[in-house]
Amino acid sequence: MGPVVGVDLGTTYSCVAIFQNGAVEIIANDQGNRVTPSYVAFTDSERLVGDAAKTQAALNPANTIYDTKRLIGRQFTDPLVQKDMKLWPFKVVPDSSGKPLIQVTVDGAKKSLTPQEVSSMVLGKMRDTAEAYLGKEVKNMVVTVPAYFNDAQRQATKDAGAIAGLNVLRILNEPTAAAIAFGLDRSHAAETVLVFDLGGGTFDVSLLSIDSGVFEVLATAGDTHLGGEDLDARLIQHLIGIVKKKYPGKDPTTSPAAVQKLRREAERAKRALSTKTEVRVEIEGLLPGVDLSEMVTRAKFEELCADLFRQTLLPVEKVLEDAAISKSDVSEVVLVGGSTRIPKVRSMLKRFFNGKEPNTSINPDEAVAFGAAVQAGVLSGERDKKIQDLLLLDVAPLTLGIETTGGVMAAIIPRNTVIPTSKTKRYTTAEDGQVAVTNKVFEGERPLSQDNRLLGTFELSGFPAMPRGEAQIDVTFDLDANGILSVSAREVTSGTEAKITIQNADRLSPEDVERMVNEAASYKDADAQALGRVEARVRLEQYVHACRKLLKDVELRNRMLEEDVLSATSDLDTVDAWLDDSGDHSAAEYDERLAELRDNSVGPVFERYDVVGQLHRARVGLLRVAAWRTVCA
Amino acid sequence: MKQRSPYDSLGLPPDAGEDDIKRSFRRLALKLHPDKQTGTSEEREIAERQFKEVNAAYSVLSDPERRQRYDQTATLVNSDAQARKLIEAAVESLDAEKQRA
Repeated sequence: MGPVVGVDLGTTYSCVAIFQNGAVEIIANDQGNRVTPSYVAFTDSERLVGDAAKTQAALNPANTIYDTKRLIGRQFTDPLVQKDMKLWPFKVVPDSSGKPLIQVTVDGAKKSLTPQEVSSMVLGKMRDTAEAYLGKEVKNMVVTVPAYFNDAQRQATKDAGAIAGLNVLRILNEPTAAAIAFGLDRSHAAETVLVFDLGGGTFDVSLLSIDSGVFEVLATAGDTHLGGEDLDARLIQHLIGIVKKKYPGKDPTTSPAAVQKLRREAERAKRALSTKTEVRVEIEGLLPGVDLSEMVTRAKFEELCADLFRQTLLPVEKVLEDAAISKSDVSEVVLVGGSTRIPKVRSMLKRFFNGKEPNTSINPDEAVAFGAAVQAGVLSGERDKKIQDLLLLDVAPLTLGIETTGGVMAAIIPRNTVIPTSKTKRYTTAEDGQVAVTNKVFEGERPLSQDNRLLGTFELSGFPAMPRGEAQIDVTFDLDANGILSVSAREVTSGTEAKITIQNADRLSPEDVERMVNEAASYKDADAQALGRVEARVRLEQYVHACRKLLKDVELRNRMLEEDVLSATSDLDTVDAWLDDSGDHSAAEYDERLAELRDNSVGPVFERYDVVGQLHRARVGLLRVAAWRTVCA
Repeated sequence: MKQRSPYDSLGLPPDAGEDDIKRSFRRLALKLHPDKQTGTSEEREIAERQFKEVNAAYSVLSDPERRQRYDQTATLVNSDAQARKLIEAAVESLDAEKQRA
């Protein structure tokens, strides 16, 4: 099956890792960074993903997309989407079925992208990173999601992989992945571990028992919309308030670029406040004639975010209650996610666990990808004694059920049930001669189905007419190891296997996925073209550079006729001027210039002095390296 | 379809202790969980079905309340079709109570 990598697809940053030769390696990207911003940007000439996209965000705010994990699997009307949109410089619009689309302008034309497509670009970037490192094609991945992601969000993440042409072998819960990173090399006796995972955009708490390689999730809870970005947002609002007060009539929110600058500085200040007690936020020219210079103290930051911090303790209480485990039975509180660096978060947890120090032994930014890579190793059948006896037993985060009489939710699979699982319930008909039944499938914890999330509606039809109460309809809920639900039904007395269909408004149809796969492939062509262009340019630059180096060689200069030196120098100057003249040329144009130099002008000159071999040696070695550098710059 | 008692599924006697139940479940899980399968798709399917059965058995026996409810009902009636229904109903009503609580 080839290499299988583990990818932590984060709200703000992503990370890729591989298990090989008995160890996990976090793979650095082409910039040498072990985490890659989950950013995608469109300029008029190209598509940028990762560091390159984030770097230019303030210059190109409307066409720089991030935070898609906050959109994926949600409806446009979702209050959280509506709230987030206020701080996003890119445009989000509803499609015909109420799903959000991100709108960018490329080459003057509007282009709409689903959150799945944007995520697929980030996944594609992570694949490219792994391929460059491994020197092999990567087709298979384990991708992590917040444990508290619902069915639609999981499905959509899987679709994102499919759009990138990847086979997502497993959707793995982030805190479970982190627990593997924590427990892999521990030779302790059975332990009960609480993973507190506060990332850039999502928050999970999972309680696990770890016993000789078996990681059993006992309970999980969380908030798919709480993370470092919400803390940034508080700081941004605070700074906006200060600007408005100081400069009446000026409003930074009217300028996407200003908001983007505030976002960058707020994130920076927040990070600094984890180690310092105060930090100065300075932005010159936030708006025309508006400079910001403001001291922010750690105490002020904690006050701005107090309610969010308090909110993080609720899921902690919930998992303990669900698993019927007391605080004192928890042997380790493991911190994951960048936001757990915040001193207030640590001190709060310490107090909650009666003075127990949280465990900071694992890298909060890399632990999830690390665990995903281990699970990828398990799934690829890697024969390694470290993982041979390793097994993850994960759970369903939300109760799944069906609507019964009076709009009451009847649970079929209760939350925290170990997956994969399959449960069957028998129903009957309510009317004489009824030949079809319609059911609504919900997920959530509220007793009335209207308060839960509708996953889909299914109809079972085609069984023979019978008096009411005589039909026996077995409805089976099947939850696979990814936490993804499928429903089947069968009428027993007649023995008819009737087909049922789930209409899930949030799912992409196979046709949609195929269309997007094709579009993604076209980006790949464009990317390849851009790369070809850059490589051709570098080939030419390197040739010119090597020639100039030769001309500086004293021994050669002494042998050369002055007129040859002059003509070569002038030819090289002409090409340099052409290169400097801004504007991209095609690969063919660069190659044409190169051929001209090599075959007709400079090349033949050097040939006369028998140094062409040196020219080649100087050039070839540097070429690939330089080409990659330029692509990445 | 033949339905086995949760004790049968886990290969345990009715007086098995909590630790036995946990150990037996983990041993079987390591053998049957989909992640651990390397065989044909048919073999995988069989293993997954067996895992789900073991999983369901464990969910009854690992919870003292549910196990007690199961044990009581099981001794009251013979293990025929009616018994199964009663047992299922009993366990379900407990689930429903829990959910309401």
